[in-house]
This record gives sequence, C-alpha cells and structure tokens, in this order.
Amino acid sequence: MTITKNLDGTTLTLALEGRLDTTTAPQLETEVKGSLTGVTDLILDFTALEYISSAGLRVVLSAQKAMNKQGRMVVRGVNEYVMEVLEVTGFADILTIE
Amino acid sequence: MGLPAKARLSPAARAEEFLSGCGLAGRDCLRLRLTIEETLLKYQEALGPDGAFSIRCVKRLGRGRVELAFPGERLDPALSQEETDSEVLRSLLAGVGMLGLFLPFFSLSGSGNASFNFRELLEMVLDIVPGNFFTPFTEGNPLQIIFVAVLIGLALLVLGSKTTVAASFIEQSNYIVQLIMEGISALVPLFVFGSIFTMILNKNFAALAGAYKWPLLVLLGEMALAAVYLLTVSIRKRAGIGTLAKKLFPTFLICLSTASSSAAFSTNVETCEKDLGIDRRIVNFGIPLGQVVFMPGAIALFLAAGLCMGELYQVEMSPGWLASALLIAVVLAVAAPPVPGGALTCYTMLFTQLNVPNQAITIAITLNIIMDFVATAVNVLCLQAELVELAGGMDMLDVDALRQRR
Repeated sequence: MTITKNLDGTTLTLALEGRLDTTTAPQLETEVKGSLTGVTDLILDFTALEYISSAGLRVVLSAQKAMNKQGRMVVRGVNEYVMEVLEVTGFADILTIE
Repeated sequence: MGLPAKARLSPAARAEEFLSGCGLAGRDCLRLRLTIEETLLKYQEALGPDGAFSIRCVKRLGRGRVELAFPGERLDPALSQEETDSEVLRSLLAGVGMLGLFLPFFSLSGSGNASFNFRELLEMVLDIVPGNFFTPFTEGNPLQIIFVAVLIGLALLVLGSKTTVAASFIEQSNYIVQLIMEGISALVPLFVFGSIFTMILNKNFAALAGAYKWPLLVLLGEMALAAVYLLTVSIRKRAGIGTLAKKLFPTFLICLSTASSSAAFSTNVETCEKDLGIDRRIVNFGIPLGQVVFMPGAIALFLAAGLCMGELYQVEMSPGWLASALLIAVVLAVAAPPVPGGALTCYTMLFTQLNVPNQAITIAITLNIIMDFVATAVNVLCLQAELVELAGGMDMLDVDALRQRR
C-alpha cells in the first residue's frame, strides 16, 4: 500500500492506494500516530483504496477516536466495495464520509 | 460484489468466496469474512505471527462449513472425521458386546468354545442362499427371506419401469399380509391368556421358573446398552451425563409406561429439537424412520430369549449356533413391527432358526409382555443418542443446546 501525505496548515490529507489489510495496517497506524500533532482536520482519501480488512478498520477507528479529541476526520472517495464493508460493520454511521 | 483478485489470497477472503458460492447473501459473506479476520487478528496478537491458522472450506449436504485450525491440531476435538463405520456394523458390534455380556451365564456345548468350528460358521453363511424362492417363506428363515428380498429389490431397481406390474403386485401383496398380521395380532392377548391359564391349570410352573434368567439378562443387556450410548454421547460431545440423562428421561418414562414409541413421538421430537439441539431436518426424518428400524433394545430381547430358551430346552449351543443367534437377533430387531407387542411375531422365526421347540413361544410371549416396556424405552433412548451422533457428524447439531442444563 502506498500512503501519500499532504499537510496544508492544520489539515492533513492521507491518500491511500492499494490494500489496507493485516500487513499494511501497521504502516498506516504509524503514519497516523506520528503526524497528528497540531492537526485539526484529517482527510483520509480512499479513492485508490481497493480493499479494507478488519485490521484496516481498527486503524481507521483509532484515528477517528484521536481526531474526536482535537478536531475532525473525513473519509473521501470511498469505492463501492469499501463502502459496503463500512456499511456492514456500522462504520458508515461513525465516520464522516464525503 | 467486486472482490479484488488479490483478496482471494487471504484465508478470510477464501472463506468469503467459498460461502458466496454456497448461495449465501453477499452481505452475510462479508460479515463472516470480517468475523474470521477479527478472529485471526486476535490470535495473532496473542500468539504472534507463528499463530497462523489453516483454513478449510467444505460443502456437505448443501451446507457450507469453514473450519479454522492451528496446523497440527484436530479441526474439531469434539467430533471425529472418520464417520465410516456403518450402522449394520455398529449393530453387529453391539450384538457381539451383548453376547460377551450374556455368555458367562451359559455353558456352551457341542464343539465348545475351545474348538471353534469355522466350517459351521461357513455353512451358516452359505445357508443364507436359499435352494429356491419359496422355502424361505415356508420355513420362516429370516436370513433367506432378507436375501430374497434384496435380490428381488435389486432386480426391480435395475429393470425400472419395465417391472411396474411386479412392483405393484409385491406392494399390494404386502397390504394383504399386513391386514392378516393385524388380525392375528388382535388375537395375541387371547393366546397369552390361554397360555398362562393352561400353565396354571397344569401346575406347570417349572418351565416359567426355568426362564428366570431371561428377564434378568434382558434388564442387564438393556442397562448396558443405555449406559454405553449415554456415555458415548457424553464423552464425544462433552455433555454432562447427568444433564443428558435428565433430558432423555421424559421420553424414556413414556416409553417405559406404554411400551409404545409412537406414544412418545411428540415428546421425542420436542426433546430432540429443543433439548438435544438436533437440526429439525434430521429429527423429522430420523425419528419416524428410526422408530421403525432402529431397535437395539430388541437385539438384547431376542438374543437373551434365544440363549435362555436354548438352555431351557437343552439345545446344543455351539459357537456357530451363537453366531447364528446373534445374526438373527440383529436382523429381527430391524424387522420387528414397531407396535406394542410387535416383537411377538419374531419369536416363531427366532426359535425355528435356533431349533428351539415351539413350546418356548408360550413362555417367550408371556415374559415379553413385561420386557417389551423396557426394550421400547431403551430403543428410543438409543435412537435419540444415535441421532445426536448423526447430527454431530453432519454438522447439524447445536452443541450448546445439548450441553445446556435444563
């Protein structure tokens, strides 16, 4: 999975490309933990995300929890398959999806 | 659902794809995939990357089943995957066990235990093939009758639509015989009354007293059977024996007080479904069929009757005779009509085959009236235990319901 990071003031955009699963989830977790200082808006760009597994959902949830304390988080460009996963797991109600 | 090709590599995605192929709704497959992934994650968190699962997807009787296991461990410790032993073999093994239980109470004659005569056994097996199609019926030889029935049944199956008239003839003949049998069965109480009355009138209590072993042996055999079945289910399914016995008791009690498995039918169905956790499809099929053909309690009844009457009337009891008694007891247990007193019709055939004089039928019928209650209760108890085993083998058993205390 490739993570493209773009920090604009206090807005951090993380664009994910590929698969967010057991092997790649720790990579995103490290990236999120290390970049949230001073960030008030976190944008997760899922446009090029093909697949999300349970491990990926855990990281997304932990990011949402962290952002609840210091700002807000938005998920963008969710494809049909990933959207179905988010709906089935109830994440669609928790996350702000655009 | 557009599952990416790469996703197929992961075990959870494999399971999702498999379940989707089983006709499960897309969202349910997704939920199951995520559940499997969560399980994998939790175990990997606890055990590290070494805690890798192996996954197996199997489809049996239209039901998909996904099994997760650590390599080197059995997939399901409660269930054996080797369900190859047939029911007939089980019945025979149960019968052999019963024979071993009964034999200490008898002294063998003829060729004796030490010099086991294989020729005698071979002759017994060869005698199953009748000289013609009519002697099995005129002599009442149950093994030959079954041989002929199987032969004719196979021929009818092979010939198919060419033999519709013959099939109708056999079916209609069966209706006639059944009607005649019902008429004869109606006279059984009169026969029993007459037999006991004559026995008392002639002060001939010695014959009845001489058969004291039979009820004792039947009770011993039935108790052993019930214990073996209860223990087997208890150990294999990890259910408390007390809990199990408590669940089976209501049906057992109805059968014990009525000698009728039909009287306990509704309780039996309810117990199997709710208390034992057997899938409804197995219950609906297994109980009606099992009550007709599955009668292990009757094996003890017939085997003990053959042995006791053989001893009482001083019939030569060789190893071949014993093997013959066992085989006929097993066959008659399947053939016995599933009605109160149904076993009575089989005694004539049993004693004819074992060269026991016909006078023994009077004693057998008299004692059978009492023993039938116990045998029926054990038959149904064994049937319930057998259905649990069957359902477990087919992954159609709710083990939690089985283990749950009442």
